[in-house]
Formats: sequence, C-alpha cells, structure tokens
Amino acid sequence: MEFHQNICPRNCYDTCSIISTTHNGVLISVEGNPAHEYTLGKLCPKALDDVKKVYSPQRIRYPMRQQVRYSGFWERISWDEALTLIAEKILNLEETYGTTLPLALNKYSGNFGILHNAMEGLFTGIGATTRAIGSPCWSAGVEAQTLDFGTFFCSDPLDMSKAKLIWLWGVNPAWTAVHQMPIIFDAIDHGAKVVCFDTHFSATAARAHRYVKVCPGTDGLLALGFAKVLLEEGLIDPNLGSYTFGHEEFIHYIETEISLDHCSEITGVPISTIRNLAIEYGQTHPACIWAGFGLQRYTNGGQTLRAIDALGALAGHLGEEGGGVQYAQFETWRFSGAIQDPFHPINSSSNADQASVDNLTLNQKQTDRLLNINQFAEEAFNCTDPPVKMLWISGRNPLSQDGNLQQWKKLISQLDLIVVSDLFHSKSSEAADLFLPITTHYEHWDLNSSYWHYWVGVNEPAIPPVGESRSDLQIAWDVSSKLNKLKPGSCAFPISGDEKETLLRELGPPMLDILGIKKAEDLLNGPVRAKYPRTAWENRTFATPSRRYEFFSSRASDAHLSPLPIFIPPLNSSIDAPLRLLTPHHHSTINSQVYATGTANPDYVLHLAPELAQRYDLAVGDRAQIWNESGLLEVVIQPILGISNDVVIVFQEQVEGPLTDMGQLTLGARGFALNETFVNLRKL
Amino acid sequence: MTFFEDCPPQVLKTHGELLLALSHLFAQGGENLSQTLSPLVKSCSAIAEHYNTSRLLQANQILAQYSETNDGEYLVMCYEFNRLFVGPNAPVAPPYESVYLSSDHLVMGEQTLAVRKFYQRENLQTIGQRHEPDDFISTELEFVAYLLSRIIETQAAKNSAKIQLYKTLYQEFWQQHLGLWLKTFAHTVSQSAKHPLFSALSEILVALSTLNAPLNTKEAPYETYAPQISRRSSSRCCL
Repeated sequence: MEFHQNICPRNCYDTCSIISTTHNGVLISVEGNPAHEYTLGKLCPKALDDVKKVYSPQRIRYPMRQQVRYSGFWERISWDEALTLIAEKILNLEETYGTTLPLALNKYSGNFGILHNAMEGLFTGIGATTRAIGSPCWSAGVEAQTLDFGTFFCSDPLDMSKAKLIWLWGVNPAWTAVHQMPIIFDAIDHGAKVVCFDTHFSATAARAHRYVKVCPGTDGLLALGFAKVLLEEGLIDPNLGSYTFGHEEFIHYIETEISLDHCSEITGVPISTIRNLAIEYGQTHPACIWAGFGLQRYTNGGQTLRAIDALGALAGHLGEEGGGVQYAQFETWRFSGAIQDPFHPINSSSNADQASVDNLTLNQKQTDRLLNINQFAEEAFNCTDPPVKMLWISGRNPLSQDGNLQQWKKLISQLDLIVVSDLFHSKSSEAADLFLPITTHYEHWDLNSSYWHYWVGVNEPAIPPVGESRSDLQIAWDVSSKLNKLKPGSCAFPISGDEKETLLRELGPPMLDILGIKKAEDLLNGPVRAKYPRTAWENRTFATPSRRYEFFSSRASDAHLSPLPIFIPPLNSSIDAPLRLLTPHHHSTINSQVYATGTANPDYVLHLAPELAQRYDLAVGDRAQIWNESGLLEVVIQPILGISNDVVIVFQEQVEGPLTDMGQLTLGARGFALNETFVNLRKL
Repeated sequence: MTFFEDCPPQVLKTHGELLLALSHLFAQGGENLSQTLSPLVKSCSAIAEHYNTSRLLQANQILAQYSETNDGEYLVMCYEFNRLFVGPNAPVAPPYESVYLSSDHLVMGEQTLAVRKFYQRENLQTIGQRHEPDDFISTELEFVAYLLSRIIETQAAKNSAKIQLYKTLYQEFWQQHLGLWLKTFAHTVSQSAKHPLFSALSEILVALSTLNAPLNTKEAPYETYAPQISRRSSSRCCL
C-alpha cells in the first residue's frame, strides 16, 4: 500500500486535504487527512466518491473528434492529430485575421488547482486572445466586501466556535460545507445560539435553534431593518467613530429611509421577530454572521452584502474574536502567476523549456479582449472586429450552467472549431468538435488554496493518467510545442517541463512569507496554514482608502453605485412567470459535476410549498412543467414545508437570469443574478 | 471437457486465429475496421464451417458483407463502435471485465489486478495496450489465444506435463475471467446495437463463449450493463 497527499480541487468552501491509498498502481480509497485542522479526517459524499469518478467507465479516455456538432458521431483520434488540428486552426486564424483575437478561452473552476491556469498561460503565450472574465459565483459579494473592508478577507472558520450567537444567512453548510458543522456544534455546546436565515427550510435550518424564512432578494432590507432596531435600542457600537467611515450618513439613511413596517412587509419577517433578533444580535458578543453566496445572486446582491456588513459593523462585531461578518477570502491565492504569464520574470530565470520569445509578433503584445463570463455567448457573438472563430472550453460546462443558451446556440453556429477538455461528456461537449480527456487530481501535480480556510497544499499524483488523459498543463505544453513546430516563435508558453517544478515556481516570495516557510519545497511535506490571524480585522485597521470600515464608499460612488448600502428591490415576477425559481447547490453535486454512481435521477424535482402545489392541483410525484420565455423543463413535484408560496426550487439545474449589481470593480465583470429567474408552472 | 480435448491441431489453430482477430478488432478500434474485419471474417468462416453452425454462418455473412463496404459505411460503423465501446457518451458496453463483475461497476477493479496476475504467471505483461486496463477484452482474448497456441505447441512436442499445464491455465482463466462476462457483454451489445455489424459481432461472441466454455463454467447471471452515472443527457429540457 502507498499513501499520497491530495487536495480536493472542487469549487467548494472546504478544499479538503485527502490521503489517497494505492495498491499496485491502482487507487483503492480516499479519506480525509486526520492531521488537517479543518478536514479532520472526514470527507463529504462528493469526495468519498472520487474513486468512482476516477475509474468510471464513462470517463473519456481518448481524444475524440465529432463529425458534426450534436450528431453524436465521434471518432478516436491520436493526440498528435488533435494537437495538429488545434495548432493549424490557430495559425490559420492568425493568418486570416492578422491577430489571434478570434481565439477564445472560456475557463473557470471545474478544477481550482493552480496548475490549471496553464490554459491562461497558453493563450497568453499565443498572443492577444478573447477571454471570459469575472465569475458566475460570487462577484457581487466579493465586491461588496472589498468596498466595505478594502479587501476580501474572513476569519479562520475555526474562529466561529468562539461565537455566542451565529447567524447563518443564506448558507447551507450541512450540505455544502460539511466541515463547518462540527465547529458550529462546538459553539452550540459552549452555549451559542444559532439562527438560520434562508428562503427554504434547509438541512442547516433543521439543525439551528431558529429558522427565519426570508422572501428571496430582500435580505438586504432585513439587515437594514435590524440596523434600525439597533439604533432605536441604543445598541450601536459607541466606538464607531474610531474605526469606521461614514457611519453618520448611514445612520441618517436608516433613520429616514427604513421603516420596520415596510421591512416586515417586504421581507416577510414579522416586526416582533425583527426586533427580538436585532436586540439579541446587538446584546450578544461575540456574534458572527456567515453570509452565503446565494444571497448575492440577485440584481441587488452587492447591496445585500453591504447591508449585512454594515449591520455587523454597527453592532460592533467586526474584529471581535468569534464574531464579524464572514463571506470568503482570497488572501491565500497570492501565487506568483508565472504559469499564466510566459513573460513572467520567474520563467526567464527558470529551467523551463521556454519557446523562443524573440520572434513574438506585435500581435502578441496586444491586449486581450475581455468578455463577461456571464454574458459570454452574447458578447462573443457580437464581436465582429475580428469575430470569435475558435472556442476552447476548459473547467466549465457553460451549456449546462449559463443562462443564455439561445445565445450559445447562435455563437456555436459561427465558430470554426470548438475544443472541450474535460473528464466526462457534458452538455458543452455535445457541441464540441474536439474532446480532449484530462486527468483528475489523483493523476497530476497541483497546488491548492481554499477560499474559506487558510490552508495551502501540494497535490501529488497517486496513479498514472487513466487512458490517454493528460493534465491541462501537459496539454498546454503540447499545444505550444505543436504551434512552435509548425511556426517557430508562434507561442511563448513553454513546450515542455516538469509539473512539480512548475508548481514550486508558483510559490514566490510573497506566498512563502504568507505561509511562513523558507523554501517552496517545504510545502511538499504537507499542507501549511497561512500565518494570518484567526480573527479578521482584529486590529480594526482596514484596507480601504480611509483605512477604516467604510459605511460610505467613495469607490462605490465612483463606480456609479450608491456610496451607502441601500435597499434596492429585487426583480418582480410577472403574470407570465409568477414564480421565482431558485437553484441552490445539492449535497451530492457541484453544478453539473455529477459523478456519484447509483444516484442517477432522471427527473428534475421541483420543491414547492404544499399550498402552492394545491393551487396548481399538484400532488407529490405528479409530473409538471415549468417554463418561461427562454425554455421549459419537465419536473416531478415534491412539496416541502418552510418555503414561500411564490418560490419553487430545483437543486442544481440550469436556468436563465440577468446580472448582479456588483462585481465589475473587483473581478472585471458583474455576477450572474441566478436567483432572479421566474417561471410558470402547469400540471402535465 | 472442453472443446479442445478432441480437436485436431488445425481446428485449434483456427480457434486461436478467431480469438486473435477479435482481439485486434477491439484493440484497433472503430477507426480501423477496414483492416480488422477481413481477418475476422476469414477465421470466423473456418470455425463456422467446421461446426456447421447456422447462426454463426449467418453472422459471418453479415460480417463479410460489411467487410467489403464503402468508406462512408465504415465511418458509420466507426461511430457505432465508439457509441457502444468508447464514448464520449456513456459507452453502452464498456469492454472491461471489472465493469461487469465488480460491485461498483468500475474499471481497474479487483478483476483487473487478478487478470494481471494471470498474465504474470506466464511472464506476460500488457505493453501493447499501455493505456488500457489489463482486463480489456482485447487483451483477455489475446491471452486466451496465446494459451491455445501453447497447447498446440506442447501437443506437437508431446510434452504431456506442459499440455496439462496450459489446459489447466486455459480452463482457470476462462472459468475465473473471460467466461464470466463475455456472454453478458455480448448480450449488452446485442440489445443496444443499431448497426447489423455489431449484432453479428455479438452473435460471434456468444458462439465463442458457448464453444469455449468448459462444461462446468458458471456464467455470471445475465445483467445488461446500465450506465451508472447521470449526465443529464436524456433530460427533457428543451428550448
């Protein structure tokens, strides 16, 4: 038996440290690393199914080419054929248009390992290209926290165990961050009270002391209502003047613009509940709010997060051990970036087999064309000078996850070549010309950080690549090699290299300093916790321009946003689509990454209130249809308690939707207002 | 008793050729059917004529018909081959023993390692199929063909100890591996095939299974391989 250190690379809070066991070169089992402070020897159902994922007979083992998109007529081709097709198309486009801008990359977090940024590096090495930027996940919240605190930072998740009051707001850790639950239970054991705010009675709500049902998209107003009570009850922090900026303006706004009657009417939370909860929040120290991603997937999502941040600040909970307002962090992602920039100084001093950059054309010094990942298809289709002609989809399944599928169909029709690199066939690869099989994290080196806890670690290969699969890094090297063979100097990305050495180069001096290690190789011994304090903003010195917590943000104002957190109503339903469709994550999947065997469910399940089901003459198990102007979906009815009569839920399915209010400043593009989706319902 | 107890060497050799032809067909994939079909037809003809089996004869006639087809038809057969055995859609009949016999229906299961140990007993290892598990149908068929060739050689040399050794190895391998899943595999192909070539191929695999099975081989209960993972490809979502 051999044991290996792995890290789960899913886009997930927990980023688990895994010990994998192999025997005779075969992956036998995976388990949580008991020495890891957050994983503590346990894994979620998704990671526990990793052996099934690795060895699924449905995993793609060879490069394949489709005769006609969506035809299902696929043939195996060699890697050399695939690479030649790709390289010749890139060179052909460059020759035709005089630029490589017709080449587009749409990549996100299918695997969050740092070495997967090789795809960005490859494209940078090719020249100016078209890129998807922003995030479909958390943009508005990231920006809100950046405006308020100056940077995107949270307390260590273990800090929550010291809280005396925990508000779980729009987050469902019992399903989506299972390692946080023992910490919450620990706090409960020490006397903490837990309140869960959500649109539906979640698995986490079932484990809380109190569940508060909030009308979707109105959480910001609820936070402002709580703030109103704090003011009325004299429960605001008397020291606000010493570490915040603009609290007078915010207080004036609350006093003049927010009424509890209106707040209660809009949020659906009784005034007495608002008052009691606010008093408890103001009187209990430390009190922690954990704001989930679902909260900000509305057109007012950024304002919602800012209002919740402001509530925490007003009550004096920021910087207190066990308290604060937690969302996520990106401080442990300060890697060198050498892999995504072939021109990075680290690369020129390394032993990487670097392609010659002497012959780089002017084209390669041009600027990339950046498209919002949440409007990618529409923006790419509208590009005319030059048009987008080749698309590489990596670490994504946009034809399952994106909201604008009609636009995707239009875009697909104008593309010369679509390349999808993935583990499994997907909605997106159904439209592909080429499918490139990639390795799992058990088959390649990688480097992983969490956006929730503060551990960083090296993922080492446990087994050889399955079939003919290759890592994204290897594919990037191979494409560069082929390009340079066909046209010397056409790509500055290395043409070969060593995965382990490449990952060590990502650990530059700032990251070594953050981790408190002397040399990059030290991380090979096991995951290391970054040397950040356990409690965020413990000195109440912030990273904003004023160095204070900013109730009033000039940067927001400059971006044509309200300088103060305010309530902006979410979108309304219509006669044609009277029900809001929510699509929260399920415990067994992350978006369309569904690998567990034996759990296949051919039906989408629509969860709704019993009264709503009755209104549509629907009972449990009935077949029905939800639809709107963008499409329709057949569903099976499942009534549940604790949900409003104007909301329906389908876990983890594709929907249509507009953009969030924030995200442009920090991530370059506004987010996806996934929860502003409305549908109609009829019995079949 | 097995088929080879009273078989003349020439018939055994034909058996071996059929096994190898099938092995090559799966190894070379749908893209090379134009090269692998003809040898299969030739060896299958010899077996069908020897045993005068009408189903086998009919199946071979279909193979013969398609072995002389045009490029367009070969392409259609290639796509069907990949739909059945390769992907990228969930393959209907993954050509690996452990998918049928392991509890989780995965590749690289305990059967894969057990097969590897069998090969090692003869100092063999899979080098031609570096990217394939040891229980890939092509490799198992090739190994059976190899054992048959050793039986023929040792019979010619009148080395009774070796003859018995290879007969025993053959029976063990069939009873413990290929014989346990070949017919299930063939049934799965038969149920899903959308091209006559693969229905015929399934017939040949069934005939081979019946012919090669020692009398005391206990086949695995028939169970069509069903894809275990939902990729939502059959969902009723439309625009």
